[in-house]
Amino acid sequence: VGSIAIAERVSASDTDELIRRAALGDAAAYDELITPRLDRCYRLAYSIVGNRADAADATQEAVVSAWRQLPRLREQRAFEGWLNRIVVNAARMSRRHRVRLREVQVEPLLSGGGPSAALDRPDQQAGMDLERVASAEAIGRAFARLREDDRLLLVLHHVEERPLAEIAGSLGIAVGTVKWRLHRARNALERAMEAEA
Amino acid sequence: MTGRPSAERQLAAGLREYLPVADPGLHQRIRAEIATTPQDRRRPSILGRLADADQTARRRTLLLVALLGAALTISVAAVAGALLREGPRPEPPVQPAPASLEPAPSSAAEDPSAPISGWPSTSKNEAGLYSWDGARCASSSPYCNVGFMHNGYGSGDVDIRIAAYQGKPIGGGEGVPVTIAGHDAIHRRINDRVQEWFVDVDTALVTIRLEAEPGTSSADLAEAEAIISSMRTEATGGPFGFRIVFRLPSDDWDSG
Repeated sequence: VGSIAIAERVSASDTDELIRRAALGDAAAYDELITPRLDRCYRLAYSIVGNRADAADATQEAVVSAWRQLPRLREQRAFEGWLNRIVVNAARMSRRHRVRLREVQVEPLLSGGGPSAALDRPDQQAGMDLERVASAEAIGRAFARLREDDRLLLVLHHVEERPLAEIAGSLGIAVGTVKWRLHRARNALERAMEAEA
Repeated sequence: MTGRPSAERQLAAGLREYLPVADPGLHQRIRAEIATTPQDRRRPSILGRLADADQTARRRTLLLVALLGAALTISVAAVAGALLREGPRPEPPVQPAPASLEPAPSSAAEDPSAPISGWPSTSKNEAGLYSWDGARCASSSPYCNVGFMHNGYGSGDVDIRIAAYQGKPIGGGEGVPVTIAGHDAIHRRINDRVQEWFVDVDTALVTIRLEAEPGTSSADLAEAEAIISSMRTEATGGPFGFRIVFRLPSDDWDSG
């Protein structure tokens, strides 16, 4: 536990240093800061706009906007929640102002394979992969039926594993409300999965 | 006990499978745009915090500035008042006598003139007196269930819902006769987390439901029960002809 705590402190201190350097205009530091967070930003945006092109545009706009505004961020501890808020706002703006045709997802759902790869392997692993695909697809379809706020909370908490306090800061609500809404979002997802089934 | 975490892990894994990751081209595009985008530099200013990029910090600073402004205004008014008292007292203008010169009410613990707010808002609410009168119910519906609140600024573990059925008396059924808000009521404990009170208020049946999450602290539960114990009714012109007044003992409660 002690080593984990020390590692977290070191990591936090590294992040603080990267934020400090990036705020002074060091683009390389900002790149180092944003690289491990880019997928999170993208998934957050995707959970709002629901398609890859708009999610990519919103993520780009948010990350560049965060770069522009970073010198005016006084509390480095607030960086994670602040970045989440910028992404959420950019995605919401994108959804309001753009009308795009719904995309058809053609990419494989599994890394290193996908449904067709699983079908080509008549072994136990292929069966397990098929189950995973079916499960992920069912969850995905149910997820798409949820309200935007519920999708955001599920992504931040279950996928990105962000702390409740940070989620509360990102969405501008109390920690207790986050707990309550998470409970509601999980129930909604369960109901949606039952409906999909 | 391990069912829930396992289900949550499965849920998280499923969502991770479903949600896409950013393609490498996006990262390249961002790098290219950042290379040509200048940063907004904060100009030195005593009010620099008002331009903080973090909305929360900016709002906090604005609130602080507003409080300082209010304090300054009060101080100036106090100083001006003191100076006026010390100066030559001008002849008072002739005015009609005030209609009443009653003394201000004393600040007793249960001050009958204390302000009574409506239903708690979705944001933070100060401790004090609040009320529910069913005014937000749909007029065409005899059933009203808008009274939801929980201790969202505390643990978020307990919630209270108030609903009313117009013109329906208490039927039979199980329960313990009690008195709530000065009216006959039936108390039922549905399970170890849920309690309900059915209160016979004139022509309406009011139901109060208290629900607690597993592991709720006894302090949270006691606070929720204290809110229900504090209830009283007052005649009003609302849809039910009365309102339920209650006291929130802390600022943890909201309807979010």
